[in-house]
Amino acid sequence: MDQISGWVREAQAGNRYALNQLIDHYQNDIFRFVYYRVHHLTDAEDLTQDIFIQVIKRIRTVKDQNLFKAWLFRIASNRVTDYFRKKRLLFFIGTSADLESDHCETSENDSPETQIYKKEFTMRLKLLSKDLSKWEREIFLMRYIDDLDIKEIALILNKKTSTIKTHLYRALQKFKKHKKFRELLQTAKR
Amino acid sequence: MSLQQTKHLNDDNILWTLITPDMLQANEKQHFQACPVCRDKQTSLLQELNEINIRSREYLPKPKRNLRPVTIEKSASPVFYRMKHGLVYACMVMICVGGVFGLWPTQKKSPINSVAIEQTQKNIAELLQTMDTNQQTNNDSILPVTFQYIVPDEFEIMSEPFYDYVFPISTQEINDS
Repeated sequence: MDQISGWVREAQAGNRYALNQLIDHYQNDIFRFVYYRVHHLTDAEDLTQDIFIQVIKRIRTVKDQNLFKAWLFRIASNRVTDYFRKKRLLFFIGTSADLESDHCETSENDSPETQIYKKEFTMRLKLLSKDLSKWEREIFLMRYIDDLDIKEIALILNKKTSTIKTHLYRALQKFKKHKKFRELLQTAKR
Repeated sequence: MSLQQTKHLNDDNILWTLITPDMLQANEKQHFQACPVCRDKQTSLLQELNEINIRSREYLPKPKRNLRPVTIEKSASPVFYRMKHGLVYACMVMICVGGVFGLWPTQKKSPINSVAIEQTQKNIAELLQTMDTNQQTNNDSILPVTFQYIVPDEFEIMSEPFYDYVFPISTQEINDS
């Protein structure tokens, strides 16, 4: 973490190398964060780039270098919210075909078994997400897909840790009821 | 207090152990630490949740392009850009100033010619005097006496074909010839 805050400090001073190091360090995390919300590869790429452009523009405004990760994920979260707001508007106007993408990206290099697992995993995750409320979904994804701890989630969403815990508890209760998803995860584990 | 004496943790408590073990009471904590059944339940659930993280990383498609935003190198020096911008701002100011002052009248009003006024006043006075004189001599003409013999007061306007054409009178036929 000290190295990260050092990079942040240097990037704030105008060091381009430090800025690139920060982007390289977090680009996969941010891409994963965005992809498992929008479920669309090209949109996820665009959004990730947008997020890093905002980071470059606003990095001088970061006061506490230790909170850079939370700050970065908050930008990502806001950008994803904007994306869905815009998409909802376009959907109502009639220029966007689908509000939620059912598309699942599979690679040609994947074995047929992996492709099936991938599709099944994506579908089950979407079903679970639909079952969760907005905050439950956001917190569940942040905790178990983005691997953020409760304190970090509280900072990103600007909420109390007790609120985060309650939402996470409710999300886990709902997750427990998704037996097919749990079975899939158990078989994947083997 | 033996393990058999305390109850197994219920599902809700198992969930709380995943989020925050502090939510459990002291005896529940003790039981959880000692009971393999409860620990197995928690471990199984935790593994499933960890599996979500592992699979999400594994199934994440690879981005087809570089996600790092491309920075465009400036070919010219900042001094050049500063000068260019300065020039543009100066032109804009000049256009604005020109626009504002362009709306003001540029032609100066000619000064009042006092000599001409005097001359006009003199002419009017003479004309009035002539009219007075004509009235006193019972002359209907407004012309000065010296000009009355040149232009007769009554001349036959109707006899002129051109005037008939300009001011046609219904009772009189126009003679085209």
